[in-house]
Amino acid sequence: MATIEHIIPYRFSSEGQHLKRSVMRELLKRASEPDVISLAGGLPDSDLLPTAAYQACLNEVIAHEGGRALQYRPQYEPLRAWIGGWMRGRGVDCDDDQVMITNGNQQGLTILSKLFLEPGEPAAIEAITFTGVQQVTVGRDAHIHPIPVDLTTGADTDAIERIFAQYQPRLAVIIPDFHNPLGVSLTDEKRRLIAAMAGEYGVPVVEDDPYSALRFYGEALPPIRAYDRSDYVFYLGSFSKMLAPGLRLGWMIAPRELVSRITTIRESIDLESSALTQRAVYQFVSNGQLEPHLAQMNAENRVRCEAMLSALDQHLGSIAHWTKPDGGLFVWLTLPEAINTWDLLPRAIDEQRVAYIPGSAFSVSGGHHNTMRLNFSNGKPDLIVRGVARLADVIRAAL
Amino acid sequence: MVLNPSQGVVDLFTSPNIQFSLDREGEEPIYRQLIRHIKTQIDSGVLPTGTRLPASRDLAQHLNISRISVVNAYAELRAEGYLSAHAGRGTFVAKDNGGSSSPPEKSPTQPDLTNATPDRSLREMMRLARQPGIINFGPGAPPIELLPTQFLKEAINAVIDRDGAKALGYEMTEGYGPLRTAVRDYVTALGIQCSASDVLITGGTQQALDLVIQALVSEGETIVTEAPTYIGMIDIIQTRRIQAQGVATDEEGIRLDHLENYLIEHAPKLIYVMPTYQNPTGMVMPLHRRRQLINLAVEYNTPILEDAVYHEFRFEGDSIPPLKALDESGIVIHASGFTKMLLPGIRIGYLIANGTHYNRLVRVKQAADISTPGLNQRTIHWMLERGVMAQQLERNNREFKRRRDIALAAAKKYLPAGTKWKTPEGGLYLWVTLPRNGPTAAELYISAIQVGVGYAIGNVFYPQNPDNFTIRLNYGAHRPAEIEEGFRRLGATWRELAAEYAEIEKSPLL
Repeated sequence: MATIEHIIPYRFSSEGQHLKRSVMRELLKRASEPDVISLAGGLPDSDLLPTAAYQACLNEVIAHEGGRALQYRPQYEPLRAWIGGWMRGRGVDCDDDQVMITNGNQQGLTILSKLFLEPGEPAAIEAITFTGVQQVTVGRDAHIHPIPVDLTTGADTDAIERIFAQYQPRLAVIIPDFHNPLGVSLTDEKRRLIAAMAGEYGVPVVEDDPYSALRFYGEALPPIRAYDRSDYVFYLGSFSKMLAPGLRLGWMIAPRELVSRITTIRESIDLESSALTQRAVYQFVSNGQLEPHLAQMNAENRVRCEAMLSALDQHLGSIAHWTKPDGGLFVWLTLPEAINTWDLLPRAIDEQRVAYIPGSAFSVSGGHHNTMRLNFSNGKPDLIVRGVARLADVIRAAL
Repeated sequence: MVLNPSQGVVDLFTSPNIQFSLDREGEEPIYRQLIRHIKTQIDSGVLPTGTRLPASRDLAQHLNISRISVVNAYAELRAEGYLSAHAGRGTFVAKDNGGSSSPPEKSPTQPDLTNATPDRSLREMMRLARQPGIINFGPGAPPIELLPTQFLKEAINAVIDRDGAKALGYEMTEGYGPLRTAVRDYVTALGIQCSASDVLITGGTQQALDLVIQALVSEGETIVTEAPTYIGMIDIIQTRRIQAQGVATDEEGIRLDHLENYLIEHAPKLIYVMPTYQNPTGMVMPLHRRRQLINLAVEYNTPILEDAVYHEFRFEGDSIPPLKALDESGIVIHASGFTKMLLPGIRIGYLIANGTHYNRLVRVKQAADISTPGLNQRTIHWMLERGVMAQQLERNNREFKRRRDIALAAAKKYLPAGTKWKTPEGGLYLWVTLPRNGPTAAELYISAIQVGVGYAIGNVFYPQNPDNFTIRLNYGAHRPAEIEEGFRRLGATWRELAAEYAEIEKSPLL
C-alpha cells in the first residue's frame, strides 16, 4: 500500500505544523540501552515507586466500589477535597471546588493556553524551560518573550515586569521549585513579586509545579499562588513525580468563575480522568501513605544528589559550574564556551556510554550550547559517580 | 527620613497631604511602617475610597525602598480589606473610616470565547435528571452491572505482579507496544489492514477525536458532520473554535448529494462520520454508501474521521466493515476505544492512521498530555489477550438486544400515536421523533423530570438547525422493569401536556 504522502497533498493545521519534534520523545527511545549510564532521565527512580502500596489501593477500590469505579464519572470529590486541603496546607486560599483534576500538568498547560492564548499573541516563558511548556506556547504560534533565569534565585522578576508592562502577554509560565532543567527554585521574595505583578498587569501566570514535594533540603516555600490575591495565578500540581508518572494525574487550582469554562474545555479534550485512577490515588494519599513515601524517596534523592555534586567537584570542579538544588531531579551544568554539548552527545553515548540532555534543547531562543541537564534520581550513588567520571572524560577530551 | 510628597509621590497619590516618615534605622520593618502610614491615611480620610495607589514599583522607587516591602505592605493591606487589587488597573483604597466598600472585581482577561461557549442551557437542564429516583435515559454510558469488574481486578493485579514499577512509569507517547500490537490484531479481525506502527493509543475515544481535529483543522476552518452528530464532537468544535456544517442524513446515513455540494462549495478540512450504530440515531450506513463516501472523499481530497466506537455493539443484521477496511488510499482515520464496550473509566481509546497523519497525531498527543496511563494500557492489553473483550461483547450484545426489544415494545405500548423511530440493530440508543402536535422535546422535559423520567433532548446533537421534536433514549443502561416504567411515564406525561397544549390552541385569541 502506498503511503499517504504519495497520494494526497495534505493541508495541515498550524498547530500540527509547528510542533517541533521534542527532545523528551527522542530521549525516551534512546537512553535505555543497557550499558549506558543515563543522566538524561526526567523521573524518579522506578525502584522507589510505591508499586505494592498502590496495587493494594487499587484492589481496595475495586472491592468497595466495583463497577462504579469503572464507569464514566465526574471528578472524584474526595480527591478534590484532599487536594484542596493539601493546597491550603501550603498557604493557598482556595476551596475544594476550585480544584480541577487533570491528566497531569501537560494537560493543564494545554487547557490554559487554549483558554488564554491566541496564535500570534505574546506569551512569556522562562528562557530555558521544560520542552512541554514550549510545546503549548511556541506550538500555538505565540509570540514568545523569554524570561531570563538566574541560576540561584530563579526567574528574573525585573525582566518579568518589563515584559508584562511592555507587551501585556496573554499568558506567562513559571516553574517555581526545582526547575526543569535548571534545578533552581524561586526565592520567596520573587514569588511575592510575581504574584503581585500578575494582578497588577493582569497577566495570567501559570505556576507549573510538579516538583515541589521533592524537597530534600531546607523549608518548603509557599507557591506563588499563595501570594496571589487577584486570581491571576493558575497553579498546576501533579502526582507524576510525587507518586508515579504513569498515573497521569494532576490538578489545577482555578479561579471559581472560570471553573465551568475550564470544565467545558476539558470535557471536549478527553472527557475526564480515569475514575479508577482517581479513586486509587485518593486511597493512597488519604491512608497517610504519601508522607512516608515522599520522605523515603527524598532521602534517597538527597544521597544521589550529593554523590553527583561531589563527583562534579572532583572531576569538573576546575572547568565547570553547576546549580545546587534543594530538591527535585536535576542539576544544570555549564561548561567552557568551547564545548558544544549537542555535538558531544553522540560521542558520549557511543564511546563513553553516558547520556545527558544538551541544554540547548531547553532553550527557547537558542544558545546555551555549552550547558547540559543532568538527572541524579535514576541511579544508585556509585552509578552516578561513574557516570559523572565518564562525562568528565568526554568533556576533557573535547577541550 | 521625611519624604516630601511634593517631590513626586503626591501626584501618584492624588492627594496633597501625604507624608511618609520612614525610619530606616529603627526596629520596625519598613513594610510594617508603610502599612501603618497607609492605614492612618485611609482611616483619616486623606486617602478616600477608590483612590488609586501607585504601582508597587513606582512607590518603591519614590520612597527609595525595596519593591518587596511595598508588595508585602499592599498584600497585607489587601488581606485586611483596606485595599483591593484590580487586575490590570492597579491597587485601590477599598475602605475609608472603617466603612468598607469594594468595587467589583474585574475578571481575568480572557480571549473572546463567544464561539466556544454555546447556549448550554439545554445541557444544564438535562442535569436536572441527576437525582435519585429518576429513570434517566439521557446519559450515553453503558450499564454498570455489565462492566467486567472481576476481570479488571484480576488484570490489574496480574499486570503489577508481572511488571512491577514499570507499570507505573511513563509509557511511550504512541502507546504501550504490546497493546498497539493487540489493537492491530483486533482491528485486523474487523477487516482493517494496518501495522502496529499505525496504532496510536489515546485517552479514550474523545481524545482520539480531539487529536485529529487539532492535527488537521485550524481555528476558523470547517468540518462536515452528520446532522445530528455525537455531542462530544460538538464540544470539540466549539472549544477548538472551528466551524461545523451538519449534513442531512437519511435511512442510510449521511446524504452524499448534499455532502458533495458542500465539498464543492466550501472545501472543508475533514468529514466526521459514525457509520455504524450512529450516536444518536442508531443508523447503519450500508456497504455501497460507505464505498461511495470514500470515493467522494478521495475525489475531493478531504480526509474522513471514522468514529467506530459502537461498531461492535451488533445484535442484529449483517456485520459491515468499517470505512477504514475499505480505504485503499489512507484517507480514512479510524477512531475507537475500549471505553463503551469494555471499561469507560479506564479511558483507553485508539486511532488508526497512516504516514504523515500519524506523525502529526503523535506530536499533538505528546503536547496534549505526553502519554496515556501505562497501567491502564497494560490492564486492557491483558484483558484483550485473554479474550475478555470477546466474552464481554457477546454478553453485552445479548443483553442489549433483550433491552432493545423491551424498549420497542414499551414504545409501541406507551408512546403517543405518530411517534416515529427506526429499530436499532445495535448500540444503546433509541432515537425518537415525537408527534409535532404536542410539546417539543425541551418542553416535555421539565414535566418528565417531575414524574421521574429523563432523556437526552435531541437539539443538543445538531451542529445547527435542530429538530425540536427529537429525543435520544439510552435503553441499554436500564434494567427491563425500569425501561417499561420509564416509557410509561414518558407517554403519560406527553399526553397530559399535549392535552393542555390543545386547550391553549383552542382558546380564542383575545
